[in-house]
Amino acid sequence: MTEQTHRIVNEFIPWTPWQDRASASKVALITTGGVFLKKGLHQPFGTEGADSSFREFPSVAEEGDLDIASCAQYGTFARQDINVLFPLKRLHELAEGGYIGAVAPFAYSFLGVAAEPLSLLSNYAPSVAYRLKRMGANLALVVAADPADHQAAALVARTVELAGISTVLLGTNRAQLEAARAPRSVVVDHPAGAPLGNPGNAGKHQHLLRELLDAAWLLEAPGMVAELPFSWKGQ
Amino acid sequence: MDESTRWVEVFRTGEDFHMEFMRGLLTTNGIPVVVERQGFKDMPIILGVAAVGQLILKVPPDREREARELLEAPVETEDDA
Repeated sequence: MTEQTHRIVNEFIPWTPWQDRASASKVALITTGGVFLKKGLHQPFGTEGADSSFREFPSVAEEGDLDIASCAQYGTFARQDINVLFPLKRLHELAEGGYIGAVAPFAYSFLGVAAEPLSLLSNYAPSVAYRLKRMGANLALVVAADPADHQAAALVARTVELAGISTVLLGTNRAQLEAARAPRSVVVDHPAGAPLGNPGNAGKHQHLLRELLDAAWLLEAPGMVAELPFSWKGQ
Repeated sequence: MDESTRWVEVFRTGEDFHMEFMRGLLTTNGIPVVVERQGFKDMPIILGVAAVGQLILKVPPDREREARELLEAPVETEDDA
């Protein structure tokens, strides 16, 4: 059997205006970090680059219930604090503080790069978009765990946006984000595997998420990339 | 969405290095930025490819004044010291 490769051309960028401020929005979380439920509740991910499937989590899942795919090479930080790439607890804290309206009842994880874009685009990403639509999410926060994931994350964001839900993609490499052309992107100067910042620094994670939502609200045209002044140094 | 809820232009240039300098000046001072490329297209020339167009630097409306002060501040050189 001849192996086929597919080239992704990022031309069309869907756009759904974000109508409600963060404080009135139901925010859904999607990561490319390869997160799954432990204790056999989820089948672990396969090989990175060959597995385009996703895992679905009730948003009440506890951090202790979550693990990172063993093939996720950037998992060092996330194994210390899952919130560095899957900030579910931080979103709940923002909801409790009234900064966002609510956290969507389910969250999602993909694994890494978009080596299989056809199955991602024809099956898994639309499935997530449909589920988000059904649960009434107004905004999806898509966290790209690694610069190599920016394209996959952008494809998911574009599909969700196409379904009528606004998205914002958080990444760590400006050039990759500009090339991937998600509807709204925010970049920070953090290392691969920890887009939210240092493990255990909940205050910084919350601050970053608030700034991210403020920045995304102001982005008025598809494909814009906002750069936030967060860095790994001096924390 | 009205103008008060959009990113505001504070600088534009056709030069990448100039934009990188100004962008770095703002981000190192804690100001979020967006860099937009407007009217860019590649122009084949004898020695390679050059891009023509405008790079536009934008900031959130509530940080505009602070950004302009930083961008318009005189640059100190060693000769001034």
